[in-house]
Amino acid sequence: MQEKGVVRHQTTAPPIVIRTTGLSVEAKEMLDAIARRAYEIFEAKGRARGHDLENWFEAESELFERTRVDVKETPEGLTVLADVRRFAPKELEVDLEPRRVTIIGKHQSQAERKTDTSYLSEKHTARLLHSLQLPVEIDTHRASARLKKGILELDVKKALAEERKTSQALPGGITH
Amino acid sequence: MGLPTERTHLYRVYEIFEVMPNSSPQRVTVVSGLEFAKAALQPLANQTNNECFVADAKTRQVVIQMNVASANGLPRPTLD
Repeated sequence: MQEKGVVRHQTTAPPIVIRTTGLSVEAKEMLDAIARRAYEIFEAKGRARGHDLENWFEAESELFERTRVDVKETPEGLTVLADVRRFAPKELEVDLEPRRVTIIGKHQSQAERKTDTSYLSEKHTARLLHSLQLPVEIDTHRASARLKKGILELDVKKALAEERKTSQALPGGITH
Repeated sequence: MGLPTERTHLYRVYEIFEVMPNSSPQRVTVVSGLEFAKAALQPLANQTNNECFVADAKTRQVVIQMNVASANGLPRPTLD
């Protein structure tokens, strides 16, 4: 049975999960992990005040991969492009809130090598967390995502009130 | 009426970071107002090849990035 508020966009590639009910438990856990690590850094630096953001970004860079993200705005909506080439579609999740998009990725790989005398097992986990504040309010139920050559393309439509505002502001837009 | 206990800012406060080669972001400066943040970021980004970014101190959102290619690998347009 499909979970409430979760949409799977099936194209030719495996689906990317889009969650329309806000931040998932996993995203919240990731944010908690950053907060905990940031606090450890704060303590390690002698509890020096005024470096909250610096500690936060340092913790984030230690725990998660950084990605490059672009946002393009059209009169009807927004397109978010994110470089996620290390992740397969099934390893990605997008959490949508009216003013925020959060991209989550988790990739695990394992390599094993056996010889007559030795056994080597290597595990690698890469995690991605990218939260993006949006310039306009979006309709979380009108979204689609696809992966093209390692680039996640997320199309979201603006909330109707925002769409109306933009079409009035843009030259040639219909005004009432 | 008493004085406000906290200093109130007319503009939002932004912190400017440079990402060091060991991928740790180091704060370079703190400015009030997005226009001033842009003005402070530009010379910093010209001085170094490291990624530089501006983050909103309150929301922790990265609002401007420089010396970073765009998501599809193409160079980003420069700031006006």
